[in-house]
Amino acid sequence: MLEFAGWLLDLFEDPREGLVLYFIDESGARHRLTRHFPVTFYALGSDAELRALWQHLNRRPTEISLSRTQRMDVFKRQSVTALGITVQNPYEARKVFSQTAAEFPHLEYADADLHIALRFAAETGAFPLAHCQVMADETGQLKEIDVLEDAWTLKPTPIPLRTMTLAPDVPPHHARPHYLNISMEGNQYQLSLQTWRPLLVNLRALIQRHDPDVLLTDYGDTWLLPKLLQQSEKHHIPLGLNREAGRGVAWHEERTYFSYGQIVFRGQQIHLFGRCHIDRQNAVLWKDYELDGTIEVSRVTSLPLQTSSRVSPGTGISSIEMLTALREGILVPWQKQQAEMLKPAADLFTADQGGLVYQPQIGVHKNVAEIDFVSLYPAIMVHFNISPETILTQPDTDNIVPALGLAIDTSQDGLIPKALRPLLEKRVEMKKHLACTPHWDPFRKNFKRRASALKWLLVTCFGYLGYKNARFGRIEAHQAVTAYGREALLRAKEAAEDMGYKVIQLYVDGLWVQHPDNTQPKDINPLLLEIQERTGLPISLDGIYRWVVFVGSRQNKQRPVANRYFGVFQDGSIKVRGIDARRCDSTPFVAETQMHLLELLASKENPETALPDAVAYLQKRIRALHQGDIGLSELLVRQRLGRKLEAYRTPSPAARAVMQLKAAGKDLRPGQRVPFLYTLGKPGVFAWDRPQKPNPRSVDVARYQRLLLRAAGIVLEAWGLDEETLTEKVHTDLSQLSLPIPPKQHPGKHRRNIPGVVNPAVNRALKG
Amino acid sequence: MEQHITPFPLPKTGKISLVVAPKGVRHSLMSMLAALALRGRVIVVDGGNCFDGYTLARELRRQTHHVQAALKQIWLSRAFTCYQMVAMLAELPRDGTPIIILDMLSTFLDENVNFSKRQRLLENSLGLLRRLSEHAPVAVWARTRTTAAEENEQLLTPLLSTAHDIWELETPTLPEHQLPLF
Repeated sequence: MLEFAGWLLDLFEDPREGLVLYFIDESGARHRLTRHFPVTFYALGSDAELRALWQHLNRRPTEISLSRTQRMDVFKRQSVTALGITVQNPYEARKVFSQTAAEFPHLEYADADLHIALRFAAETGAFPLAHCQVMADETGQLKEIDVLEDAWTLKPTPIPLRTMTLAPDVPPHHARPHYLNISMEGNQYQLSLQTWRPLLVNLRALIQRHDPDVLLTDYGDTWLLPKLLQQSEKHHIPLGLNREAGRGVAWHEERTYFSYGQIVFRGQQIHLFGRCHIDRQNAVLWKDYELDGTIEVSRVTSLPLQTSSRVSPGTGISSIEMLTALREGILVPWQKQQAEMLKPAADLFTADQGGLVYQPQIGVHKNVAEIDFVSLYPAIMVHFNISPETILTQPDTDNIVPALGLAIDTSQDGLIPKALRPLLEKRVEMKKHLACTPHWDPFRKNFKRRASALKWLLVTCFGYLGYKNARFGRIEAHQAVTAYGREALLRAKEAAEDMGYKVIQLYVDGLWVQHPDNTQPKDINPLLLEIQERTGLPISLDGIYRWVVFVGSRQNKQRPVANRYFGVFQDGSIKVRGIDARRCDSTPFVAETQMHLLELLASKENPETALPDAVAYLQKRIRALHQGDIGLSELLVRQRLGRKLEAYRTPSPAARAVMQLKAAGKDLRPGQRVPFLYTLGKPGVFAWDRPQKPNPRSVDVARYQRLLLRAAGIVLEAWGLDEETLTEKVHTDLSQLSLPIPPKQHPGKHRRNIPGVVNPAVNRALKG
Repeated sequence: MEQHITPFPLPKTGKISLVVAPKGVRHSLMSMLAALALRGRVIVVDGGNCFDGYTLARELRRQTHHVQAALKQIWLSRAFTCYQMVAMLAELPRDGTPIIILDMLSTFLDENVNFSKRQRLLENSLGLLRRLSEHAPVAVWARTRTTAAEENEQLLTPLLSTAHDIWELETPTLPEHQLPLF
């Protein structure tokens, strides 16, 4: 008998042994265990159809057992008769299902395409990276597994993962890499990519010596591992990337899809067996939450680490819902059939609205408190029990959804609230814990990353309720959430106004309020309690701004724009939304300059006194731009290719850059970001990943200057220095320095100065 | 650019009327919908999330003071997948209420579903449409596209052979060189 405490690292189907599991022992050993693990999927249809399927499957040679069973259909709100098809080896299950679905296409199927890790977690409670107590027999058959810490533990025992990092010295799509940099347990190695045999021999030796649990790569999915595998085969030097002997790597195709109105590209993926491969360049939200967050996602979604690193938060939420359904004996539909119910067009106007927005008052506001509902939409789903099966179209309860002719059945917990509750509670606990963790605490980063991972899962759970391919989505439930959200925000606004606050802006789940006397965090507590009382939903103070600026629309400065602002909290931290410093398609040069201008304003008690420094800094940056002192990489614009090249009538700058790459033999897919420089003449861009080097003299300096002045104008306009004033100032400055003056930009017909008195500080700034 | 095209004749029971046209035809379809709504109940199945409530309300306001009442005559449901489209057509009442299907092929252009499966589901939908048209007027809009044009064409062929009346509209092509203005 083998007994140990450790962590479940990886699990996958095996053609001979059913299910293979890899564990990390607390003592440092690694174990490979197996388990007989039959899986069941269900067919639904008329008795005659199910009988025909039963007769058909009875003739199959594969080990299948069939049963007539009753399962819960969440959309029908009752148990339905189903044919249970149990396949003894999970490896065969996918094949059996696809053949069955092809031969009996008119039937509905459920529990058909679930990840093996979800099935295992539903049956045993053990999820990937769970700390468990394990017992196995002499043949390596897993006999018992008990989870020591569940997925909702706030501070789980750290996993002693062995991580090896592999990265080419330069991005391969940009230039040909010369070295492979390897780091492992504090040791650094550099292997030449010019000669493959020594590289393969050395890499194999390193993998054998260190036996890493995780291979953390850059471009491992799209370039490095395919290259290594190709050369390994060519030179007959097996690398041992997998721990599982005799298995090749698993390739997953690249794909392009729409998400939240944006086209997204995901490169091909390479998954290993017994060892986890994560490509940092192809991982989802890696920059946001890195390995700590990815581990957190893996634990709470029950998806293996290398899968969780590559799936969107929406898929993560879907996995949590499916796991809950499996545990509750609810059918997980393979293809959701339920459509929106027929409703009068008049109702669509009231039902199909999003979050509530009150446009802000443009300009500078002092001592403004920003208060936010904590994870508003998930909290609504949990608090009001919103789920596809709890929506009642014939309201006979008291729980009428505001403004919609629907009601919510609260007699029992819905599937979605059941799935979300522990996630939401953990997120709230982590937020509280983070607030009390000092900045020097070594675990703060880890906590922050994990909290961020949970935040993303919760952010997408609302969208998934209305997503067409969500297994448990329903448009009416989606509409009920926004209806409750609008009601909650209105009640919060009324509470604030009743308590003497002035409301500056409302935005979906947050309020910006101002009170002449309540300018300290403790002063806001009564308001928070009042809102919580009136709405039943948790709300917290994000902070009190020393000052906050709401900027107007670019087309018409008098017109306010929701969610476009910047401000400085009382602790000196800066918050920006919707401006260049935050946007991912800004050039680093513009974004950094704008952020620095904000820092200058934030550094002074009275921001007006920082204006001379701000203008001087701006002039310095523009001089540097004209003198060629700004590195070309600082001028790169990264834009997403929105569609296939052929679909462009008038190619965007990104499309023109992609055309250049195509001519150089590099193909980009819709959804991929393309870095490029704005250049003089036609085609006006230079794709950064072209084999040739860009000529620094060809850079369209005037265009970058315009972008910079526009960004600076957004920040300084509230103090009287708008884009036009700054442009005038810069022209004067450049002429004094005898630098080439770019053509003056003619103000558009909508561009006007905001009327106002130019204060002495501005005058000083203008005079330099 | 949205362009107002000549209003279509109202569909008739026993026939499937098909409009093959680009997005710009939506305006005219809303006019047709407004005319039907003033006569009684009408069902709209929206396959491309393109129901334009505001244009419809404007059209109704031109013709009646009772806009809300007219809007209540229009019963709408949106399909976001081809599975939903089939399920929705199967559930529609067969009580003579006119049925308008907007951008029907949009849900069948879903690369997440195998093409042969989509073709099979479209065949099912067309069978359901035929049965529905025996009891009620049915009008279908198939949107012409520049993207996924080949698949769209393949899916359009069975729809064309199912329809009884077909209007094919094209976006006017602009001359390569601007004509002299003076």
